[in-house]
Amino acid sequence: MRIWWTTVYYEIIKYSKMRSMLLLLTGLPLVLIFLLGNAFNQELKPAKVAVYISDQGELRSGIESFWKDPSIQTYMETLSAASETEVKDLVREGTADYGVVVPADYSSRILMGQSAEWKAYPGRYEERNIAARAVIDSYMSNTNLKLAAMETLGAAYSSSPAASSSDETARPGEAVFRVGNVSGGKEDVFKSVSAVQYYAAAYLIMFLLYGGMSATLSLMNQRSRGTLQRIYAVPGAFRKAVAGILTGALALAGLQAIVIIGFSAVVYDVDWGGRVGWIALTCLLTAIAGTGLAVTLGSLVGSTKSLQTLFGIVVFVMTFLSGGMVPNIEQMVGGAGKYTLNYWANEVLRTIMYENDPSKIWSGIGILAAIAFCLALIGAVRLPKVVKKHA
Amino acid sequence: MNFVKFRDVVKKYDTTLTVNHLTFDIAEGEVFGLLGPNGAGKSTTIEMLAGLLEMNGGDITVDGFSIRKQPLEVKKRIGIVPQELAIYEGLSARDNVTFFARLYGLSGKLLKERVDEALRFVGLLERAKDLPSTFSGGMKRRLNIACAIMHRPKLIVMDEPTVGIDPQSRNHILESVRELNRLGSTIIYTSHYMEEIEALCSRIGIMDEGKLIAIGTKEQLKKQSGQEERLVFEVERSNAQALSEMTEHLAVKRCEEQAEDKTIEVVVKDSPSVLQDLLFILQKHGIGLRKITRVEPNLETLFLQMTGRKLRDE
Repeated sequence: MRIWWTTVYYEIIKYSKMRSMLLLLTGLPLVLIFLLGNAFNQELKPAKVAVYISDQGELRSGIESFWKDPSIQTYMETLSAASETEVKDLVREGTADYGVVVPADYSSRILMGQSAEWKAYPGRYEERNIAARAVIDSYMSNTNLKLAAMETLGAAYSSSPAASSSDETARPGEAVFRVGNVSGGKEDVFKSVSAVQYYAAAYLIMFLLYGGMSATLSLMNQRSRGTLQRIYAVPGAFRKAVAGILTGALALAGLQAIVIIGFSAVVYDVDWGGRVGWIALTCLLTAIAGTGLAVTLGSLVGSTKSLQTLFGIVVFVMTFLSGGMVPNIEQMVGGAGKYTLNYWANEVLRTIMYENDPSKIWSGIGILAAIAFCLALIGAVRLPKVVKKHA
Repeated sequence: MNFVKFRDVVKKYDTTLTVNHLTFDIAEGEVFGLLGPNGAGKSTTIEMLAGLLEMNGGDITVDGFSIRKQPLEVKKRIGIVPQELAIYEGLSARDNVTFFARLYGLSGKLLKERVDEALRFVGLLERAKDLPSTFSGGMKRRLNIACAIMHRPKLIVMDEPTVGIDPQSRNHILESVRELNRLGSTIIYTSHYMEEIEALCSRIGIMDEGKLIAIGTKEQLKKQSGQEERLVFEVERSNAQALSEMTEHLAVKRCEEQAEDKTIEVVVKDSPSVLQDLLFILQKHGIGLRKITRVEPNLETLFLQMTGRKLRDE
C-alpha cells in the first residue's frame, strides 16, 4: 500500500508539472463543447420539407393549412410531392431536407380515437431535421390537445366502433398522434438532450479516453528511460508501482472529468442530470476501458509516438462512428457506432442526463462495465509487454 | 570472502548466447571492473545480477542469497546505477531521491537524513530543489548515482556511469566510487573506458562476446599480455633495409612502418635490452631520429592481443 500510494502521489506531482498537457486535456474539450454545442443550439436553418398528403378525409384541409401557415415559413419551406416515392426521392437527392407523408387513413383513425402516424424521412443535415421536427411537434401537440378535448366531451370518440377493442386505440391521457421516424428510431437527433449536452458528453468521453492513454505513455517512457527497471530492482515494488502509475493516470482522468463537467455546467449551463455518483462511475469505467485499450495498443507498438498516433486514430474513429462529431451518423455508418466504446459511454451519460428510470441507467452502466472489464483484462494480459524491457 | 558468485551464468536471445557460461567471484569490499567493448554482454550480466533479467542457466549469489531463489534478499543488498539516466525530469533532485528512498521503505526522519546524505555525497544538495532538466549531463549522472545509494546498499552496481560527460564530472564520479568503497560497499563497475577501470578497480574482468576472456588484478592481466612493449620511432625518412634488419632482430616480435606519420612501431619483449641495437640500425642507415616513445603494456593491448580488436571503435 505504501509503495502504491507513493507512486500515485509522485505520478500526480509529475502530471501537475506538465502544464501544456493538462491544458490540452481539459481546455480542448471545453472549447469543442462550446463551439459545437452553441453552433447547433443557435443556428437552426429553414428546412425544405417534402410533403405528400394522401389523406382525403376531413382533416386534410387542416393539414394543408398547417403547411401553408406563414408562421412556420421561418423554419421551413414546403415542397408538395405527388407520392410517397417522390418524397423519398426528394430527400435522397437532397432537394428536400426532410420528408413527411400523411397516410390515407389518417383522418379516419384520428376521428375514431385511434392512434395515427405521419411518416417522416429525415435528411442528411441534422440541424434541418431538428427544425422540421420542432415545427411538426408543435402541430402534434396542438392536435393531441384538441383530441383530448374531444375525448373529454365525448364527441367522435364515443362513435368510434373500435374505441375499446382495438390494440391501436389510444389509452386515456396518451397522445394519439405521433410522428413515426421511418429511418431513425430515436426521438430526435440529439437523443433527448440538447446539442450542448450531446457534445459535452461526447467530448468528455473522447478526452477521458485520451487521458487513459497517459498511463501507457508514462509506463513506456519510464521503460525507455530506465526508471521502471530501477523500480524493478527495488524488492517487492514493481507490481505495486505499476498499479500506482495506472492509478495516477486514472486520478488525472478524474480531475479532467471534474474540470470538464464543472466548467461546462457553470459556464455553458450544461445539465448533467445531477447524479454525481453515476456520472463518476461512468467516467471511471470509461477511463479504465481507455487505459486497457491503450495498454493493449502499447504492447503492439514500439514507441510512444507510434502509440500516440495509433491510439489517437482509434479514439478519433470511435468518436466519429459513435456520432460524437456528427450526430445521428449511425445510419450512414451502418450501425458501426454500436461497436465502439464511445457509443455506450455516451449513451450512459445521455441517459443519466434525461432519464428518471434508474433501471435504464443501470443497464447502460452494465454494458459499459462489461466493455471496461474486457478491455482491462486484455490490457492486464498485455501489460508485461509494455513494462518489461526485454519481454 | 566472496560476496558475489557467478556460476555458469547463461543468457540467450533466440539462438544468440549473449552471456556464455560466466563463472567468477567478487570479494567483499572489492571494486571489481567489468571491461569490454559495446555488446560484450556487460549490461546483460549486470541486469541478471540485479534481477532485472531472467537467466537461462546458472545462478548468481549475493551475500549467500541466490537471485533465483531469494531475489528479494538479493535486491535488498543492491543499489543499481543503470547506464540510462533513470531519473524523472519532472521531479526535483530531492523528489527523485525521496521517491526511490520511499520505495525502499525509508520514512520520517531517517528518510530525510538519507536523502540529504545521498545528495550531499554526489554534490547536489545545493541544487536539491531544482529540476534535472536544468542540470548538466554530469549532474544528471550524479543524481543517477544518488538514487542508487540512499538505502546504503552493500553492493553497488554501476553500469557505464560516466558515459557522455565532461572530465570534471567524470573525476567527481570516480572519486565518489572510491569513497563509497572506503565506506564499505562492494562495487561492480562496468565500462568500456580502460583508463577508468585501471584507475578504480582492484580486480578486473574482461568480457567479449558474452565470455569472460581474462580476470585478475591489473598487474596480473598485464603479465598475461606477455610483457610486450611498443617502441615508437619518429624518423626523418624511411628505409626498407633498416626496417628489415629491425624485424629480423631476435627480441623484436613485430615491426611496422607507418609511412604517413613517418613512424616505425616496434613490439618488443624487453625494451631496455633491445633499444640500443635498434638505435644502432637506424644510425647505420643514416636515418635521423626525431622522437622515441615507449608504450607500456595496458588492458587495451591485452584486449587487442586476445581478440584482435580494439576496445573502442575509433
